[in-house]
Amino acid sequence: MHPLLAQRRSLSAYLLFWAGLAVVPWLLVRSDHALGGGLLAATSTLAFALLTLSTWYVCRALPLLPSRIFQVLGVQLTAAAAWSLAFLVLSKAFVEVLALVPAWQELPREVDHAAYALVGVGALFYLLVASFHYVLAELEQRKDAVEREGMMALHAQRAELFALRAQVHPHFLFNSLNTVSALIGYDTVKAREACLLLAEYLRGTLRAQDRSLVPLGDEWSLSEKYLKVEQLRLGERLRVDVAIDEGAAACVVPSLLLQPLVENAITHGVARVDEPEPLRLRAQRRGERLAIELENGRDPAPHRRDGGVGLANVRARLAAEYGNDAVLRVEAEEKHFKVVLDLPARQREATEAS
Amino acid sequence: MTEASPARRVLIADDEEPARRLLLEYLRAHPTWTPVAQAKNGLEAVQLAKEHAPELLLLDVQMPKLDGFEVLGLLAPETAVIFTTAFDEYAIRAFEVHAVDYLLKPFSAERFAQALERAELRLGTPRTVAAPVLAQAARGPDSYLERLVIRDGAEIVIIPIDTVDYVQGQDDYVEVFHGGRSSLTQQTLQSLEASLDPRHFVRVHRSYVLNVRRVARLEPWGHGSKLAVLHDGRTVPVSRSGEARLKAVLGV
Repeated sequence: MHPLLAQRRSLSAYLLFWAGLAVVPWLLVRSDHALGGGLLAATSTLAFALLTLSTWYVCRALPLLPSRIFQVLGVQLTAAAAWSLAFLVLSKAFVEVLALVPAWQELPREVDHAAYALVGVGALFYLLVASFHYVLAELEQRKDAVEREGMMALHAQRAELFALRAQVHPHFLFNSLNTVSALIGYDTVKAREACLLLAEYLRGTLRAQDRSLVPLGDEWSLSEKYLKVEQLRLGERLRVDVAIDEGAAACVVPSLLLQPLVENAITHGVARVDEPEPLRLRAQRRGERLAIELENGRDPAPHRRDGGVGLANVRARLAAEYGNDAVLRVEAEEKHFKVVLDLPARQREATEAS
Repeated sequence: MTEASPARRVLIADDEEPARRLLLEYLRAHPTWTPVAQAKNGLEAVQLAKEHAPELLLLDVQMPKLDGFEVLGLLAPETAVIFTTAFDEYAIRAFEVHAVDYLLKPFSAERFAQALERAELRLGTPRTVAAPVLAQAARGPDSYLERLVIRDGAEIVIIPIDTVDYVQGQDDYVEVFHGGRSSLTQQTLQSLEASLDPRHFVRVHRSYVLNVRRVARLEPWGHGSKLAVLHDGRTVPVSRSGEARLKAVLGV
């Protein structure tokens, strides 16, 4: 569809512009009857302006490219010739109607006198229309490009968010497989248990990846499976102390939100310290807010300042889901590391529509 | 009858119990290699290595207290080292510090036997790795040192780099001043300086690298040189060119 026809205001402005240009044929006809001549000029110019809107399709089919310049010139000049005659024909047709008014009987003769001039005006008008449409086509193309860019940015953001979701870390798998390999040598029952736990965790992760929001209780039960696998490897060093109140467990959170934090707590915390220090999770619903705290021990003089990637990912996911309405705060002390989340408390029903 | 081989002492260092038990199981097939002790963290590994003087150390990379590369830096060069880890990104560094082999967890008994054969061939050949290479391996590529691990007599001192006030070079040694005490380590000032974050540590004098966050003020000290006065009142000499470098970092 023609972009001007889609917007009433642009169409009005376009027609107003052409009404102004009607002064050109009006002057050329030099009618003794100012009103009759004006009416004729206005009707034929506006009719011409409306009919030549079809040029839009010509301009779109034949873009103004340097490589096609001769083709463009050929086509447009031919069109200009045809439309200039059309302008004359239009004027003659309208003038016959106007001549029905007794005072304006002279008008057709005046038009015949100005016939060549009117053909010239028609040609110039057509070239004006064609130029206008090329500018319009260019603007539309830019708008499309911006829109496309916007869409692509949106897709990229979605893809990024997808990538930000916790994925099964290969090192976790290698370490777990090594644990299984070791257990086979001295505790086959435990080895089998390890395989089953690992499978449960992997399946849970796959499932979670297809869901956007999950109840906190479900999210934690996935982390629990992960922790059970890690417990086989880390033994006494990993103790878990968890308290999630009922209201909090029912609140929905972005799926796999907790998991990167729990993994961080293990790889940068629990696995780096010798002294058993429980991994503590606290989740409480306080009115309209959901408060989650995850705390772990850490090496007071770390070998490397790594991590941060997991936290940044969680922050990005919170921002995508809640905008400014969610906060992730880190409290880093010498021997403790605590992540505090403050999110809107939402129940499943309220979010299912979205 | 096969020729009786002398017993080889092996030390196992891994923070995970299943991993240690797996190594013990694999070792049972190689009676010439006798496990003498097991360390649960890097610090224990260094202490037990000193105590037992093992011919071979089976060394995990990621451990509490000290990591595998830091342990290696504190070992007698005669001890052969086989790294065992789930991470393949340390392989190049392991090669640079002349590790005998690099076993990726999980590994088979055959692969383990192969590593032991390599260790057998390398016995008695001390690792000769320059201190800067070791330091680089310990901190990893593209990062500055976050802590210094120094053997101070019988004690291993872990010094977070933020607690270092200044470092004084003395020939092949540097003396690290940190929180009211000092520790000596065998390294040149240049190589240590190269591994420190230049935004915080500046060579202010031929023999001094200074933590700029400790400087309270500069005082004139004759012949155009200055004296940096630290927050605790101690002073460090600053040469003319050192002053320019210091001011460039401080942005004054």
